[in-house]
Amino acid sequence: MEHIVEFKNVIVEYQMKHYNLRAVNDFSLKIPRGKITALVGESGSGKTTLASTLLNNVSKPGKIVSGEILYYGGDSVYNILDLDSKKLNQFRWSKISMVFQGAQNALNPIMTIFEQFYETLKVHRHDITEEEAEAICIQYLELVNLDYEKVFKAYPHELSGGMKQRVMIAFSLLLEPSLIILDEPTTALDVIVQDYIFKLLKKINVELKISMLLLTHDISVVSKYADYVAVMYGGKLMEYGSVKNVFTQKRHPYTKGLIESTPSLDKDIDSIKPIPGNPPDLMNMPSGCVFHPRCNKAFSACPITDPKLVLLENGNHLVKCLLYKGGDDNE
Amino acid sequence: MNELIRLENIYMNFEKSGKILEKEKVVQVLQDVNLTINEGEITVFVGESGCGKTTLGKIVVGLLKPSKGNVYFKGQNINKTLSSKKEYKSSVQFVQQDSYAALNPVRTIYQSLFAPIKNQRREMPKGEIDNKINEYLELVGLKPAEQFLNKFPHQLSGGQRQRVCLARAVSLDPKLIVADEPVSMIDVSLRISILDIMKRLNTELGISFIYITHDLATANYFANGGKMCVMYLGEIVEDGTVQDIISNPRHPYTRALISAIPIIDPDVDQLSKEIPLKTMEIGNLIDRHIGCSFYSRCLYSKEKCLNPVEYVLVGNTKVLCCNLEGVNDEK
Ligand SMILES: Nc1ncnc2c1ncn2[C@@H]1O[C@H](COP(=O)(O)OP(=O)(O)OP(=O)(O)O)[C@@H](O)[C@H]1O
Ligand SMILES: Nc1ncnc2c1ncn2[C@@H]1O[C@H](COP(=O)(O)OP(=O)(O)OP(=O)(O)O)[C@@H](O)[C@H]1O
Ligand SMILES: [Mg+2]
Ligand SMILES: [Mg+2]
Repeated sequence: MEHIVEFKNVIVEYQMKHYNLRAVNDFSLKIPRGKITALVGESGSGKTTLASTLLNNVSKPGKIVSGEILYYGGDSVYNILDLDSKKLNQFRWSKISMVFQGAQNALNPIMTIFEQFYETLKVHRHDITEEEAEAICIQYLELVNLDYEKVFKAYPHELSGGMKQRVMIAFSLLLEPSLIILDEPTTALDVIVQDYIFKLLKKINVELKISMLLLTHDISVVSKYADYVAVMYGGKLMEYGSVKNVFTQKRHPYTKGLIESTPSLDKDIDSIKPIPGNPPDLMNMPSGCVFHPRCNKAFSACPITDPKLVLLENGNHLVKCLLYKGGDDNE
Repeated sequence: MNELIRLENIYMNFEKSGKILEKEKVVQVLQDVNLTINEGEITVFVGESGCGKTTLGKIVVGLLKPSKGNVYFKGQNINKTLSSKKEYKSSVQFVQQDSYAALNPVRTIYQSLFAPIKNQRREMPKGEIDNKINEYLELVGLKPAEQFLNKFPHQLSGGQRQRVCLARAVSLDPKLIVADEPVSMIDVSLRISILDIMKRLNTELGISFIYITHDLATANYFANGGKMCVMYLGEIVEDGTVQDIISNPRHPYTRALISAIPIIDPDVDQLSKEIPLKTMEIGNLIDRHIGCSFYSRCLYSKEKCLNPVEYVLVGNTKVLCCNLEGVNDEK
């Protein structure tokens, strides 16, 4: 399978005054081209941090301590971390764009929506006229099902949470990049609009072959719209595979816990239970497997050995758990 | 049950300078909303993105003053009796949808939590406040609390921020918490834990909650036994118990909404499923027509739906629909 980007042994640390917090810990994964890949995992497990390495803009005082982030352009491969700031500015939005978590936060509060579109367009097309920009802006606002008359000249505070999220999605599509990172893009959307937006994204994904990396907590959204899913815990990759394989087989005990604790209308309320225990303390990581203190399958080796990612026999399915030795399926 | 807050004939309009439309326009965001919140009760607001849930929530806690209509606190009109206004202000807390904007970016988490408690309880010694802060941070799963106290908001993940906001609201001993999408950026396992905490606050301390969400499954989990208001274009279109509405939705909008909820099953082709709506075109808040606001999108609309609509009582559920026979016939 072809890939669009590859994380190679990426380590990211937030270097604080009195300690270092390792938010992404030796993460390696290839993201398939032309597909929708979901990234799920605990709150604070490092999803946003990992995604921001793709644009080399980890928030301060974060640092990419080691690793490579490879971008597979049509005929060339390069390490995104090697781009100088000028190249990087061209790269952002046109090759990889990102809908930031808390879209509210990403919009400039003192500019109208149109002014913000115009500004972004000008960076990449210097000679664009206001009329041209206006037409493009309207086209994209309509695409995400916004009433452009209302939104076009509005300031962000005049829009609801979900309207701002859709403005950001429109933004990310503007320059037709090869990869779009969507960080919690639909938290403020009702399921009807969400369905509309995801069907639209899916169409764009299929027709324009734009790859997508979707960071979300919404497991049912992953099940409905994504092709592949990566599960993170404590800064590490725990499981990766096609949605079908991961959801039907749920090899990693953490993945299993995550899917089974998801409330749904047809589940008995009393049967829904959170995974016991607390998220790992990133400053004081458990030894061995990071998940072992909360794992109901943990055995004597788990607090000692940090498992390797192994490839299961069914091809493209990776699991990091001592229960699996890889090759064939020997639980 | 004792009445805590009652809203009577609430209207909310925003002025909009219509640069494109060339004339001043009024955006009519809420239309004749009536609502009673009782002590110890949980109420869920669901509805379309942009339909006015946040606006209504802000009116309930007094952050916005309605253009028309009255707000009563324990039976007293808050704008007529000063003493009741004071008690009201200290009894209600709002957890903002946008956790990024809710926290002052130049203050540490500790400072953001300390100031409001000090403000409310001037006589409380610092040590006691510190203990309280630790206790509430750990209550919402931010453990160990010391790891978060000296951080700034931008140094937290999305879900961590949301929990700080919740901790702050709880720390002020309110009688009612309006929680606007408080767990949308938190993983499902932790979501359940936080909702369990909110449930405990409700049953043990008798705190009332308004839970604003797009996630009907968590609404059902958290508020089972409580009330639900389904909103569409600034009106409450269905008002009943959570159980009744989820198991037997009456209003055509509620039906469409529930049918659009994604399920966790990669084997089911959910993408080709159509949502029962005539169009995705959203209604217009600027030129409202008389009659049903769902008219243009409703599969069951008839000519009579263009006349003013009245609530009908079906069992214990109030439904704003004038063609329920039509809806039921085609069921
Ligand atoms: N700028 C920063 N400075 C210090 N620590 C940070 C910073 N940004 C993130 N962190 C920490 O790094 C860890 C990972 O954060 P990240 O935002 O990547 O998590 P996430 O998986 O996206 O979580 P969520 O699902 O809640 O959004 C968290 O513990 C967070 O507190
Ligand atoms: N200050 C304002 N000025 C003008 N219009 C506003 C203002 N605040 C809100 N609105 C409009 O009021 C409507 C309702 O907004 P509100 O934020 O209450 O929606 P919501 O139901 O919370 O939506 P979401 O689920 O997307 O958060 C929207 O059409 C919005 O554009
Ligand atoms: Mg995040
Ligand atoms: Mg809102």
